[in-house]
Amino acid sequence: MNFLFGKSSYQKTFKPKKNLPDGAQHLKDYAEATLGSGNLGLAVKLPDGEDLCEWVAVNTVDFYNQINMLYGTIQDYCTEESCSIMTAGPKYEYHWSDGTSKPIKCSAPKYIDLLMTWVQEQLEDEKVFPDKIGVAFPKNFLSICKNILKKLFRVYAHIYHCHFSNVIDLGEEPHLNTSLKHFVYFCNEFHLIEEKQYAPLRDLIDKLINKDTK
Amino acid sequence: EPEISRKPAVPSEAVKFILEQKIENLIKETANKKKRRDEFEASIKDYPDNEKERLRMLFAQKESDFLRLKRSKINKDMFTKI
Ligand SMILES: [Zn+2]
Repeated sequence: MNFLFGKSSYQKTFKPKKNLPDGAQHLKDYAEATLGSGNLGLAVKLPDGEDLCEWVAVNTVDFYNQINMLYGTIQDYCTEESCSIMTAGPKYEYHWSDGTSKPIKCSAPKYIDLLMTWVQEQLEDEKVFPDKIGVAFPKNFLSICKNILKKLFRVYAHIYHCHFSNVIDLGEEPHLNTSLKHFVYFCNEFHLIEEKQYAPLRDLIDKLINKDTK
Repeated sequence: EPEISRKPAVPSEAVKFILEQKIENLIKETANKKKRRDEFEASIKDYPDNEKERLRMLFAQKESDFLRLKRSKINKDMFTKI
């Protein structure tokens, strides 16, 4: 038995805390606020015959970009004092690991800085995200993107749980909701994120998606 | 004396505008993509089946290349501006 290395990285970096109330009940009350009336479910589909990796690549860059901008607007409220631990409500706490290092418990601004830097390094790495025409993606490209998207989701989760009042003050809730909805539609279309990762925003996500299917 | 409010790191109004444009463009681009494909299909309707298949692959490749150019452009833009 190996107690140090026996756990999956999921267990190590994602710590659900049991028996605590869910503070996110109110979030779903804001699910009506979204942008535009276009069909996002249709917009995320892989165009006939096109390269799946290319489609996932351009969208992953786009989501990184959206999350970077959205977090940037509330960054001043996300401090060592206000967010000394990277949480998504009282039930979920994230510990940072880039997959090679031992997970560390840190503040949300530190965690998000490490996360965004880690993602950016990969987006800029031409061996992972080739940008010349004709250069192939690496064999494990989709699993790299799954890992990136799983971690990016945590920034949404933190913003919703810890900074939603800031988001409302800025009148950004339709933008945040639409960005998340687009993200979830995309990830679901290609099974890029495991359902359990959505737990911190489950009710809100169900409501955002149901609104379209009804 | 009025309190001086600190400017946010990234101005919210600009981000909101960009995201609004983005979602509008996403829907437009989806429609444009379908239009391009329909026009392409119409243009090859009289070709033999094996030739159609070859042309479809070329078309899909061109569309994928277009995505790659778009991605490397977004990539460069965001890392220089933000
Ligand atoms: Zn925070």
